[in-house]
Formats: sequence, C-alpha cells, structure tokens
Amino acid sequence: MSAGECSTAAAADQPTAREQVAALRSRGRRRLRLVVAGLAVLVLALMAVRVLLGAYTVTIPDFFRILGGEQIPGATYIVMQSKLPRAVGAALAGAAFGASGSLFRRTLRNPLASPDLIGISAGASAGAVVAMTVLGWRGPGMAIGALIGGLGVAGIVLAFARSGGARGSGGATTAMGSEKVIVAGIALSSLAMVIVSQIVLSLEKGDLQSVSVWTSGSLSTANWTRITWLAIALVILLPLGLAIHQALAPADLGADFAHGLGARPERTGFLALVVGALLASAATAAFGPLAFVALLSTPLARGLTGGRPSLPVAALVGAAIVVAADFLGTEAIPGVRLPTGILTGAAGAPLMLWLLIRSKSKV
Amino acid sequence: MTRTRRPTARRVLFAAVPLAVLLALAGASVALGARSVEGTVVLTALRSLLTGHGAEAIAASVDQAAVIDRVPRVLTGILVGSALAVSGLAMQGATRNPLGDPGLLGLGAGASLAMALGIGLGLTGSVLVVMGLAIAGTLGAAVLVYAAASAATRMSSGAGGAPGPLSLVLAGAAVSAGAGAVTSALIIAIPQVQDRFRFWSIGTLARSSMADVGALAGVIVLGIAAVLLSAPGMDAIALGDDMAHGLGTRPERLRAVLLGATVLMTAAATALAGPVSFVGLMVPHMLRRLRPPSTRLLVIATALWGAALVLAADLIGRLVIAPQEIHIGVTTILLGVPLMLVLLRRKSMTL
Repeated sequence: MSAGECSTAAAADQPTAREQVAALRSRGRRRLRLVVAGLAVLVLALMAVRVLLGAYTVTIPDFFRILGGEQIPGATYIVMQSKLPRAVGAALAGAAFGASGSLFRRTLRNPLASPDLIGISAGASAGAVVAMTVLGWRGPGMAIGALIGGLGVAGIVLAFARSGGARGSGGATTAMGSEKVIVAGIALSSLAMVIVSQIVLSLEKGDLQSVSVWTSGSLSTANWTRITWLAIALVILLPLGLAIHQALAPADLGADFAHGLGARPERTGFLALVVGALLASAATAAFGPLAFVALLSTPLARGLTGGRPSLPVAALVGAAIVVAADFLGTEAIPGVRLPTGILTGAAGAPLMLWLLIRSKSKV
Repeated sequence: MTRTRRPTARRVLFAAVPLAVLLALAGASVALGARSVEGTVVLTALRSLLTGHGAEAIAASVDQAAVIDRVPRVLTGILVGSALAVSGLAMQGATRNPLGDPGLLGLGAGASLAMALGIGLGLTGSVLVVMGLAIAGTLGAAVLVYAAASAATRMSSGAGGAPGPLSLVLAGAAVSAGAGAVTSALIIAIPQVQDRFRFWSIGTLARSSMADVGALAGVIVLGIAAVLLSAPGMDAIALGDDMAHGLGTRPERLRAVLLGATVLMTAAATALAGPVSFVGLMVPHMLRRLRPPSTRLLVIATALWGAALVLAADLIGRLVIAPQEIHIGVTTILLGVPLMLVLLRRKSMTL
C-alpha cells in the first residue's frame, strides 16, 4: 500500500513495462495505418464499381481513354457528366459527413450526438432552400445559406445546452452531449425539415423536381462546379478538423485532467463543433442532407480501429458508405432511382435504436 | 352560496370557453379563405346543406359553393385536432411521460408507412382498408418504440419499469426516420403511392373529403369516449401503480384502454391529414397550467382546444400567403418546438 513499495515495484518492472507500452502503441498505430490503407482501397474500389458497372457499363481501357480526353460517342458524356462526378461527389460528401461526425462524437462523448441527428444537416438544408427560393440566390449563395443554417442550428443547440438545459455536467460542450440536448436538437431538426417541405410543396412544377430531389439527399445533381466548391471546402476544413481532433485528446481524460495538462478543452471543443458543423453544412449544400451518414460512420470507424478515435478513418468510412449507397440506389431496382439519402436514412434508423439501447452501458 | 357557485362557474367556463372559441373558428373557417364570404351567405349555404339541398346551393352561387366546399375541411380539422390532443393526453397519462405525443413518438410515421406499403401492394380499397393499415402501422411503431425505449432505460438505470421520457422520444425519432425513409422510397418507386402520397411529407387539411370524414368520425369519437370514461383512473395511476391498486383501479387494464384509444385516434387522424406533431404535446400542457377542475373536464377541454388549435393553424395558414397555404403540420411544429425546449429544461427529464 505504501508509496515506496509501489515505486520500487514499478522501477523493477520499468524496462519491460515501457517496452510493453511501446509495443502496444506501435501495434495500435500499425492497426490504424492498416485500416486507413484498407479503407482507401475500399473507397477506390467502390468508386471504380460505381463508374464502370451498372446499367451502363464501361470497360477499363475505355475509361482511361475517356480520362485521356478521347471522345467516345455516348460513353464519354455518361462517364464525364454523370458517373464520374457522382462517384467523386459521393466520396467527398461522405468524407465530410464522416469527419464531421467524428468531431462531434469526440467532443460530445455520445454516439447519438451526431450532426445529422441534432439538426445541423436539417438546418443547412433549410438555409439552402430559403436562400434558393425565397432570396433567389443560386450557386455559392445557396452554399452560404446552408452554412448559415447549419451554424445557426448548432448555435441554438449550444445555447440551449449552455443555458442550463442539462445542468451539473462540467461545461456546455459536455452538456451538449446529453440526451436532453440531443432531444432538443431532434425537435429543432424536425422544425427545419418541415420548413423545407413547406417551401418545396409551394414551388412551381419545374423547381419542384430539382429541389425535392436535393432535399432528400441525392448525387444526381453532381456536377464539376459543385465538386470543385466542395473540394475547396474540404481542403480547408479537413486539415483544420484533423488538428483540432488531435487537440481534443487531453479532453478524453476529462475536463479537470485536461485543464491540469494545460489544455483548454472548452475552447477546443467549441472549435471542433464549429468545424464539424461547417463540414456537414458544406456537404449538405452540395448534395442535400444525406441522412445519418455521420451517425453511421462514427461507430463503424471506432469498431475498425478498436475504439480509437480517428478522423481519417471516419471520413473514409463515410465516403465508402455514400459511394455504395449511391450505387445501390441507382442500380439495385431496375428503372427506379432512389435518392442516396433515403438509403442511408433507412440504414441509420436501426443503428440509432441500437446505439440508444446500449448508450449508457459503454459511453 | 358563493363558495359552491364559484367552482361550478369555473367548471362551466373550462368547457364553455373552448367551445365558444371552436364555434367561432369553425364559422370563420367556412367563411374566410381565398374567396371570403359574408355571414348571411354562410348561413344560407349551411342551411341548404343541412336540409339536403347542397347541390342546389352550389348551383345557386359561387359564394355558396365556396362555403360548402370548405365544410369537409373544417370537419376534418375538428376531428384531427381533437383526436391528436386527446391522444397526447392519454399517452402522457398512461406512460406518466410528459413528452407524450403521437407524432413525436413515431406513431404517425408508422401509420404513414403502413398505408404506403398497403397502397404499394395494391390494397387500394375503401377507407376502411386504409384505416386498418394505419392501425397496424401505428401499433407496430408503438410496440417497437416502447420496447426499444424500455431496453434503453433498463440499460441506463439498471432497473426495469417504465421507459423514461427521453428514451421514448429518441426511439420515436429513430422509428420516424426509418419509417419516413422507407415511405419516401415507396413514393418514388411506385406510381400509385406517389399519386396518393404526394403531399404527405407534411400534415395538411387540403385533401379533406366528406367520405373520409364520415368513415373515420366514428373511430375518433369512440377513442375520445374511451379516454373520457378512463379519466378517473388516470388520476389514480398518476399517483403510481401501487397507489392505483390501493384505490381499486387496475392500472394494466386502464393503460391498455388508454393506449388502444391512442392507437385508434392516431391512425384515424393520420389517415385523414397525414403526420401532424406537437398538438398532443401542446394542448394538455397548456391546460394543466390552468389547473383543470377535474380530469374528465380536462379531457373535454383538451378535445375542444385541440380542434380549435388545428382550425386556427389551418385558417392562419390559408390567409397569410393566399392563394398558397401554409400546412397545419408546419404551424403546429413552429408552435410546438419552443414549448418542447421549455419542457426539456425540467429536472424530471431522464433517459
């Protein structure tokens, strides 16, 4: 029991203990590298399937000839204007949602506290639809609307958490992960979604078609302009998110510990939520609210890494989910094209029930 | 003398005020709209409708035709509003859960999914078939939500018993999202479903028809009557199951009646107007603040105010951006979410 005994025992074991820790650490890192590499290959393979297979198939040599700029009647148009943009757009949007989910998950410490459940995606789509239809903004204006909407809902949810919606648990960002605040977010989410439905239903026929496909989350609107905008957003936000994600590590030990280590978990957590909300809003602005991609990818990513939080893994899982869902949605039932968001929504709902049932047993 | 009269006056007022408000709103709803009509014309039109000369009245003038056209809409609003409000009250009483609302707990979404599935499979028969589908869907959603929420509560507190309010809402949100996604897929994939469901993403009175009203009014009246008869028992189970046993009520049977009535009323309301949330949350909570003289009167007042709320929402929605309209599903959520945030801040909200 005495401190001396402990330290001598530790001193005797020190070399081996250190070696053990080092071995464990490198094993963890090796596993992480392996998972990242495997997922990257998976995403590329799924994208290849998306581009080459389906109702209209393209051979591999033809694909490279088309990429090289050769004009093959019919095929060039389909690959360059539909199949390839869809695959690239799906991967980018999925990565954005996955990364966003990972940031929310690590800050709020609750697998249910995902940006698509607590209303960030719904707020972004309401912002985009209002910008598009009421204000008449198109292109970048719509993206700005989405960012305002997404950040707006995040702000309201944070304000609710801070104003004592969930008292007694150190700090607003931790309180924000409580079930109470998640339920508040769900209520706000339903409010935002119903505003979108109302606007969509009051539209003229022509607008109705394009807007209603976008509001259920679909890659059919993918084009190179949108992809460029989303890629620019990701180039800025992903490294930022990665840095913040790593800076959140001390907070994993609890707020008091983190303060002791000289970290400022409140500020880092706030930044993580802002960047996470921006990522989800940017992806929503491009292809609509792809339901539950963030909710789905974070637990899957943690399963792959053995419980280790990793933003790149979550982003790659998100990308794989959206590319696969887009392929299934367009090719699974002949003649029927289901928006991607419907597939991810249907897959996410059972997972949400499962997360709810075991939420308190592990978190 | 004054001692006994004052509570009686309060009792009368508790039911009479909402009745007066409802009648005024119903009158306004028939008269006002994209084409507003004078009071005398409304009266002639309604009189001819009651005496069975509706067709002649429609032929007589456009104004009278407009009035007669709005009657099914107003009746649907009254039925849907009272059904949803009383459902919310019954759920809150049966589960002792302040966040009880058929929309919030995913029951409406279950009804919509079952109806879409049935129509997709070619079961487009009478209103009764649709109603049967809606009941099946509502019941399925209720069982799923209750089971998942109880499991979550058991996991978090380690003890059995009734599911906590937050678990129920979270499970309801998951079931709503899943059912909503599958319903959307059916709408896109199957043309027959698309025809019937185009406007089903929001609750609306725009599709009301007299045939549906006639077929489903009985179901809703039956549901409200069941809750009304269970009212004294609701007071007993509010004190806890042990106390209720001691007072001579049977909590399990009472709960079954209340939840059965909720399923019937929610299914009928969803078949009439689509998904409408928060009416069942708002009306009972507002009325409890007025300290109802008795639970039976609370049920009556809830039905009347629920009907008034939906009619008001519809009327405002038709007038604000005429000739377009804001559907009732939007207005009720706009009003309901702030209340929900206030309720969530209470200490008693647990998983």
